[in-house]
Amino acid sequence: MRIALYVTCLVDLMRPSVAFAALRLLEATGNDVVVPPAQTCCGQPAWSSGNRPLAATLAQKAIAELEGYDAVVVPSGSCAEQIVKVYPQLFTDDPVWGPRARALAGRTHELTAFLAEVAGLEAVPGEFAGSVTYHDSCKGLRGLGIKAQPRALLARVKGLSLQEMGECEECCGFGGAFAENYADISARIVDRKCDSIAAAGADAVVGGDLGCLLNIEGRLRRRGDEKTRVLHVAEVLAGEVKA
Amino acid sequence: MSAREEILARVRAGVGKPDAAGRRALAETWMRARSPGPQPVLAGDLLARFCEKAVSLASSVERLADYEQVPAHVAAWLAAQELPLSAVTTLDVAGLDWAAAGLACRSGPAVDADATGISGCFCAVAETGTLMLLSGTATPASVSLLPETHIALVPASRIVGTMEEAFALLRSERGQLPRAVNFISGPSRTGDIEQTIVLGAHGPCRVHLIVIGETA
Amino acid sequence: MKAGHSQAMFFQSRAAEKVRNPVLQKALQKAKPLFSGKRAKSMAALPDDGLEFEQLRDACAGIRDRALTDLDVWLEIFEDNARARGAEVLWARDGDEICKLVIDVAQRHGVRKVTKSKSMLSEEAQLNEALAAAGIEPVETDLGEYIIQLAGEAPSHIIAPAVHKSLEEVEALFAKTHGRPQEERTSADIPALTREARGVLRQHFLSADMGISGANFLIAESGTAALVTNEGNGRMVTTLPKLHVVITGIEKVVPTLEDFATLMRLLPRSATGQTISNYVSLLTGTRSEEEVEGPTKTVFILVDNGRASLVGSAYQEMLRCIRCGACMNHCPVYFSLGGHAYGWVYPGPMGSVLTPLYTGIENALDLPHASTGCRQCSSVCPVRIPLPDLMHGLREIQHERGLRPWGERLGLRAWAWLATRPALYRALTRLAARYLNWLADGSGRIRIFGFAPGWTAARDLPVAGNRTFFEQYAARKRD
Ligand code: SF4
Repeated sequence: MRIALYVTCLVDLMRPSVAFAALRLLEATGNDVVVPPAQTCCGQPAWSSGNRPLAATLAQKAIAELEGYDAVVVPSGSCAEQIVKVYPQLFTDDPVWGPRARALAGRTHELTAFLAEVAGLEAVPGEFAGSVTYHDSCKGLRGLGIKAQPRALLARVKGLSLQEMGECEECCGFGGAFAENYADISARIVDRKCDSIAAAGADAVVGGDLGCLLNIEGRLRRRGDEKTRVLHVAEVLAGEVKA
Repeated sequence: MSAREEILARVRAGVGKPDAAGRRALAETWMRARSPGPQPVLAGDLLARFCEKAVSLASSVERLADYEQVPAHVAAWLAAQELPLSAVTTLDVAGLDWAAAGLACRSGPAVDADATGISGCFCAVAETGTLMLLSGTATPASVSLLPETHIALVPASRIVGTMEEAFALLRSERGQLPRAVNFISGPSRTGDIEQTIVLGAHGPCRVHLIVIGETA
Repeated sequence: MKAGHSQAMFFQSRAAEKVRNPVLQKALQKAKPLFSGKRAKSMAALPDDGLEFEQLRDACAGIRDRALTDLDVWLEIFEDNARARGAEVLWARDGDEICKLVIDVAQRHGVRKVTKSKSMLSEEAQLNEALAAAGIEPVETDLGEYIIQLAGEAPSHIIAPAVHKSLEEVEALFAKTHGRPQEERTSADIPALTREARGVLRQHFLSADMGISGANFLIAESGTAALVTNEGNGRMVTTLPKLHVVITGIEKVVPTLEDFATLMRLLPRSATGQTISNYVSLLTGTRSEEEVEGPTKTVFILVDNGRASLVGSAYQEMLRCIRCGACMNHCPVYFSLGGHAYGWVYPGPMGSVLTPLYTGIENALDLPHASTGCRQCSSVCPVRIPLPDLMHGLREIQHERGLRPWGERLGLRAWAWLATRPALYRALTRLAARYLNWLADGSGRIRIFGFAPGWTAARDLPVAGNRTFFEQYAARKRD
């Protein structure tokens, strides 16, 4: 199987280790992994703002780049949801792009869902001496049903124990442009998430969406929590975690 | 154009379908077909279910073998609650020998001063532990509403499974709905001050159910 | 349609004030787990009775769709059956017409005092103000509504109108209104306060000339108004006064009693986590000749106020709403602000859809955007309304009508231009990574960032290094 890794623009710029971790995990499945070189942004910011034409332009670009692979894997529930759920909506009645968007949607997977359900990855390379608590990001959870997969994979990480936080399915307040445009509200929401994380008392909070993680980490640090580590699930699974 | 005509015209434009008469005929047929939604599967017998649910809704429940025992039980229960031995009753239960048990009962609509109201019920719904009362000349709705204590007599044979079954019973016995059908599930309650549940908001603070006899 | 009394355009400034109000935040913090916890518990128990939430909400959505796709017909059936039982059926295009009709009925019958059971339509119409201006005293009798009427405020939640009020505030209001000294109160005194209100409101119930209620549903087959309450005030206002006026939206009609029974399996569970509300009343026609109580006259006012325009539109699904409040009870934005920030009658996700649709899209630009897109609302809605998708549709309309700020439009266009030019994109992101790293200055974070002032007002921006993934990946491949 030839797999394309869709890095996402946020990971490319803000946290490359997530993509390297994803590569390592995908390679561990014994498949051919390619990073399509021209990929940029999936178009979600345009879509969220209501700019459908712009979202469609960026979607067409992504579809053309990604459709030649057996599977496309995305280390983000949010960007995966954009491809899986939104791309087909953008071209519902389009005789050319409609079928292409639907075909791509059918082959695109969020990383942990791919590892757990498609590739059936048994052994994970990562080790983690400590406890983690898992934040379920909204788009992955409610959009794609990502819930059991990351937990099943984390359970195979040597040394790791899972310490669930209260209301782990509650939104962290990120929401893309929302965090900037409605900063007051977003801050209030992420504060509640930080309270839940603090109450769980784990060594690290782990999640599958970098946007949420930057939001949570940024707020934890601003609140003076320098101790709780904030990690992407791929980093933990792959052992891309600096001690 | 009248408001009615204008609003209906807008709705019709939105609905966007011709042949209102034909659609109305279809609607009438559909109503007569009475297609119920998903139905619960109630484990165990209806009587036990009704009692269990009623208690969970903060009603108290007593089971008696027959109507003869009711007045003495009510008198004893009121005394135990330190409530006055008097009540207003609906006409359908006025015939019991309340006086023999030492109770001063009057029948008819309730007034503000009535401390206790005693009523029968049309039937009861086991699924939710609910009473179904119909308004009427013999069964004024105020009896189950104004007094702080409501005592209801529930024949075990009148406990049905669901609200749908209660409606079927109503249609077969009465044909049409009375002015008011009141489904009552425990004492009145509110949570409007800091989400703290308090019993006895505007209606009764206490609901005591007396289930009579066995299911048929 | 007009903006009416909507304040939705002030969302941003109101939000800023609400997040900084400690009394409000404490009240919301307390209510949140109660609301969601009770609902979750009652839904989890459905399988004990062989029922499933997903199956039930398909059925409920189906019932609402059946009514809406032939709404004209069902309304006529309802009207015919209600009239056959002696009720009068009137129609109102908007809030002003509601007020006119109600005042007219009241004046014809010499009404001086009206007791009201919660009606959101009366909020849409600002009926209390209109009644007072006509010399008629309106008394809200739902305890929550009573509290906010005393405070001169609007409801902040559709089923818990005073959720934003603290015990101390209630005590102060009661002391002032009921003419007694104010006392120190703890939560142990809540029953006593409830009792105090009961005593005052009981006298109003007994002396009112007219009762006004909403209706949770109109049942077409019998011409019936269904009223669901816990306090019993709904029963009071429809039993004691001689005159009963039901004000309700045209979308509230359902075909049969069986449909109503199905909806009742989800409405109380979704709203308060109850398997059934304490009082469910089905009100049909007027009292009979021999009856000694109940209204001698019943008037239905069926209201459009923007609803008819949604029939057959892309927003028809919104008309399925059964006003349970579950969407706001599970909304992270609602629980950061409470309901007043939304500026009109309906808060939370359903309000973010309804307010722009009923009061004008250009008058509520923030509401469809003030959402994280978490979909917690649509995952609990008992009639499966895709609230986030409807909000998204409104965002698209804003874009099409050129209502988005120019900065956002320009920024997105520039971003898309860049994103379709991969080589340039790589070069610029490389620069951006270095710039961010320089700003972080070895600390791994940026504390003040001019390009995202909102973000860094409350958070640091974590920075991982000075090279993008693609830059590092290319280097690795070369090695
Ligand atoms: S939109 Fe759905 S969840 Fe919200 S109030 Fe309406 S029915 Fe309830």
